[in-house]
Amino acid sequence: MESQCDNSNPNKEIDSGGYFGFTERYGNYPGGQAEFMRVPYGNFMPFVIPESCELEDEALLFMSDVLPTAYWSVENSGMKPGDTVTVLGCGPVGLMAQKFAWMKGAKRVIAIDNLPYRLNHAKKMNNVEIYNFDEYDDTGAYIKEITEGGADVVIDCVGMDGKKSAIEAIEQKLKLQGGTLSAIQIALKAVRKFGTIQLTGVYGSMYNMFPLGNIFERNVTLKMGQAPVIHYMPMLFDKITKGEFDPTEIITHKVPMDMASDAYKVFNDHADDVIKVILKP
Amino acid sequence: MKAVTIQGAKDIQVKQVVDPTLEQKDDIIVRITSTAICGSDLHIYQGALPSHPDYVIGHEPMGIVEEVGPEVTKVKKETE
Repeated sequence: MESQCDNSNPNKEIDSGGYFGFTERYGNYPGGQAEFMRVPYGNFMPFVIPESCELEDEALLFMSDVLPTAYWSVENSGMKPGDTVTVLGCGPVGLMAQKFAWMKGAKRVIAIDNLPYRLNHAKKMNNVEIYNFDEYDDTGAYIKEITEGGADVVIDCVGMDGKKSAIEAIEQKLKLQGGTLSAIQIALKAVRKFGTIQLTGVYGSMYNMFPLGNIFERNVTLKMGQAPVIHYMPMLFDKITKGEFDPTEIITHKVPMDMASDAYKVFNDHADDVIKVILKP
Repeated sequence: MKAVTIQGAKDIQVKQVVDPTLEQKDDIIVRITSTAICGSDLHIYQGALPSHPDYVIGHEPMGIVEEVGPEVTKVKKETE
């Protein structure tokens, strides 16, 4: 499985596969926001788009990460038809995870964020129930209440970049804390006893006050990791070409690569109702 | 070639960098036609994941094969 490849990451301190454009920690491979890119393992890595395919780039581009990551998240969570699924985060991966949960036969899909424009996008794109976590004192407890005991599966598509508490912000500056546990704190209450929390949003480094006991005492399963994206590309290509879903629904910005500096700022600041930015070299 | 580079925290510059070349016999070079910014790229942008000046970001590209190493059989020049 490529995300845990033993050979592609020359950094021996890190026991994880190499990633494009993801610094020395993950192999120091120059990335793909460029006019040209060197791709190693040329007999394994590329997904070849058949000549007969007439779709635009935009319909296929997200096979590179967003779609396999979202699809794998639903699969890896063990979600079954008839389950209630709560997805934390309405960014690109969260939005697609919501869609894939419906496609797999979820009975109910609940989406959580604190950006109204992203919640509205989720409602429009996926017909999910939406809740703004800034409007509840204890969002996890609220989800548990409205799902009568909790969701079967909670998929965290936020990770360490969620809304930090004041203490976490200080700890992170002092490098005592990798990021925030706020998404996990919602997840552990929103999930039912014997349910599963799937962590897809990235967690790097270490975490203080990790609520291990609360997860243990309710027999909750915690799963996580980097998706093996290449394995999912053929199946997703098939679904896209059959029109089972439209990946372009997450695109809000398409700009020339020359404008990347502005595009990063907009994306980082959640300005201009941004969800997904495409750059054209 | 032109590329999106990180120079330091919150300092993105599109600039000329050295063209990539085939290094291994099974490498390919792809001419990128579309590429996307990922939320995880923001860890590099914000400086949480340290890099070095002129490092080229990005892991969501697609394009057309420009060059192939001698051991590559899966694709050839101009394969999409």
